[in-house]
Amino acid sequence: MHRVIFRRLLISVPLLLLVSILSFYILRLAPGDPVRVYLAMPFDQASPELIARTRAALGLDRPLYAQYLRWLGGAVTGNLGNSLMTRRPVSTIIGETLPNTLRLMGFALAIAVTLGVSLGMLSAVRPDSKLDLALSITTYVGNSIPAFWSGLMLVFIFGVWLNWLPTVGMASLQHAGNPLLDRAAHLVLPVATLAFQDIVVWLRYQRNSLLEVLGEDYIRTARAKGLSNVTVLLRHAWKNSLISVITLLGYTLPRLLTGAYIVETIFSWPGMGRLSVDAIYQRDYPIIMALLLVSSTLVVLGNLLADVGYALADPRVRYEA
Amino acid sequence: MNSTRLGLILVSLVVAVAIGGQPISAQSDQKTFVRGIVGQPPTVPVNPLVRSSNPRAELWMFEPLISYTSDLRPRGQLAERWDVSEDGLTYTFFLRRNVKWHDGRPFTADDVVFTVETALNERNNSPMRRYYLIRNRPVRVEKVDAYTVRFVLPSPSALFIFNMSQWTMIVPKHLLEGKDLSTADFNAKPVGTGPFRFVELQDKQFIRMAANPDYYLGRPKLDFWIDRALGDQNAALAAFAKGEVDFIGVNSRDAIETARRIPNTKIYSYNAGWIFSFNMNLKASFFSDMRVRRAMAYAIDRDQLAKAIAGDVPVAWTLIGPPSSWAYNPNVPKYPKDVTRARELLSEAGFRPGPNGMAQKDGKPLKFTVLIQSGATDSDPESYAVVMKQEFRAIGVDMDIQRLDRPTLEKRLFEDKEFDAYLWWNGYSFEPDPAYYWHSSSSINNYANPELDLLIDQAASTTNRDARKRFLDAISTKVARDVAFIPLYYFSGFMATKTNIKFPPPSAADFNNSAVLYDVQTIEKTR
Repeated sequence: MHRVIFRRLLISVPLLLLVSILSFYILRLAPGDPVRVYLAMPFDQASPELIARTRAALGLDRPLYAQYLRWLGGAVTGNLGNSLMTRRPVSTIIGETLPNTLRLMGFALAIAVTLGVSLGMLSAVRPDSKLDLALSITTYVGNSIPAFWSGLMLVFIFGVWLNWLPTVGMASLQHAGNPLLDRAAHLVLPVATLAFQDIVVWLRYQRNSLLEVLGEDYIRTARAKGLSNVTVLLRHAWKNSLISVITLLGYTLPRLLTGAYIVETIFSWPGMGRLSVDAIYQRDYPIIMALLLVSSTLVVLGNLLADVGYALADPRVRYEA
Repeated sequence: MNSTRLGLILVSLVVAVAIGGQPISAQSDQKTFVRGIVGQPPTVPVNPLVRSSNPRAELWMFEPLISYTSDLRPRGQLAERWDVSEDGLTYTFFLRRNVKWHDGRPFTADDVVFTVETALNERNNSPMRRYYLIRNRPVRVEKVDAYTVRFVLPSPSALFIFNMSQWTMIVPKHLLEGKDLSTADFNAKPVGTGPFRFVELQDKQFIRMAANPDYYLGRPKLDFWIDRALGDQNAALAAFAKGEVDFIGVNSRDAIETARRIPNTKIYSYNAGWIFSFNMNLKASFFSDMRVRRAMAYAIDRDQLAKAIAGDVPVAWTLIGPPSSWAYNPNVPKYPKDVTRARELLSEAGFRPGPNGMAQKDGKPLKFTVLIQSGATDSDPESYAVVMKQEFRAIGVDMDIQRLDRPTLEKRLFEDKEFDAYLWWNGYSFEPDPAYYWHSSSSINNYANPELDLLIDQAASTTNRDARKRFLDAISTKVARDVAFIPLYYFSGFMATKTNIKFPPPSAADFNNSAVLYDVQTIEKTR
């Protein structure tokens, strides 16, 4: 098993390299460059000489392959360069924002899995019951509501109208109470928005796979042996149904990451999502490259995690080392 | 049972660590003003010499030599007063003697000379440099004594005093001399002379500033000033409605309406001097014909467009405005909507309706593409383009709309100069200088008119306001007569603030974007 994981990790190195080359070139296909934003002049008043000098100072006048090699050389040694806009080290910026995004994603994932799996089980136990129908309708509707809308609704209902929860950032700037509670309160709405869409997916997966398993012969055998319903459900059916549910982990990380981009804008959350939106508009190449690297690493890891979980849950699955 | 409890404790510990972060200190009984910022969050470098970072928190920490009163007269800021020589070439600034940097060191002429020379040094790539150039030639700066500085101009300029009120903030020599400007520690721990001093900056989240107790115009009435980054206009409105911020900009009609419905809210508006306009590449084949441009001007109903899209804004007929500006010229040729006249002009220019009813000349249709910025916070360009497309269609002119993101659009317009037409904001301050847009040496629209070049040069070098106004009037008239562009409306900025905040009267000078309003210390917050 360890060797398999090691090999998979090794394979992901050329994969990430390929991703970095592709994204570096695709990024530069977009016209425009960061110089004007860097100079922050009123719209159009930078002279061509100033622009040329600044471009040279930022190293953007060199051939593309040279710029890439320079970036790669840095990245390999752990130096991701400096932001073109703020001149701060990219690794510092990522170090500040990545934990904030992971915090959102982590809580959302935990809630989505817990709620999705348990509601999915409830649905599967009594298929076509009123509860199942209600959950089906709710989840279909829920899945069709985009996060930018549901997030705004949460903001206006719980933030503005009822005034129960904060809607801006990770903490109050002038808070007198318990700082931990304050931070927790700031998490509620963004996490709920992010989790909302994912609950649906987990629920549907869990329901369908459990239904499938419940129709298997060995379940009938277990029931025939006189085992209680709960035992059959939890020990025999659910455990087996989890195998296909686990594969979802691989898809869910990138999904959550893209979801976080929207949620972070709605809730002014200082995470990677907002960082990347800004960086793309400003053509802050070193930051965009680092973010792409981080997110593709997350996707690779998510898939690896799903495969490992798959093997752990299902004794039939054994990867050849 | 025990294991369940242990599990619970463990889970809550994990959660507590995950929520994490440092506690934020309580300051509830102090007067803190929080400004919500959408778009460009507070970020390093906080150093006016390096770049003019929006939203310009620098304005509260750094100061230039000159500022303007709310009725737009220059007054001394770091300079107490100034003299101008007879020939208009030598400006002598007498500095205030009781000004201290936030670290306690006295502010002197050395700081001024250092700032100007550093800005002018080409190697430093300072965006501040252009303010010290008069028609592309640098000014000379010299120290007369510890509190007197002399500037010698290469030629007389109507804009020099105005420039000295802009992004020409003075920085401390003792902290920046000999440092690499782009990486100096100073950029994250700025020290200025202004009414607020730097406390902390959480990159792209907020900047916190505290009242400067030694401020020479009196300690500010607020204790803290915070600029806080918000995700978008909706996030800003929600935060404002909840009272998490005291002040936000409201950029669209919808946002203004929403803000109006929030209790205890005041809406301020200001004229920023920006003109939203339809610009044509005058070198593009059919736009070089003035009759075509005039026909297009007659095709659109500016009043109706403004009413329907931009709201309660002054409609523009020429380049310098708004109507409240001293430089405004109301007597320029106007082109109210007149479809018949537009068609006549097109046919005079040789364009006749083709088989599909669209104008054409020698079999070539009158067809072009207008560029607009996508993803702008302001939806006006999009709405304007869509309506104008229909209005042009009515006279047989076919306009395509192309949306580009900001960097792409800027490259097309200002570098490649590959465009037929674009919708954009042209900026003129209350001390207008039409050179950038209309002088043949720099005109983006490829406008070239030796007569106008001369007028622009004369306006820029005439310091007497009345004489200067005559030149500016002539420029306004000429540009309108030529239909060198189609101005649409004068941009008004709106901001929402709580009624318990008392501002000095907002002037035509823009509260958000210009270095003009310098009475920040008088802003009050009551309970």
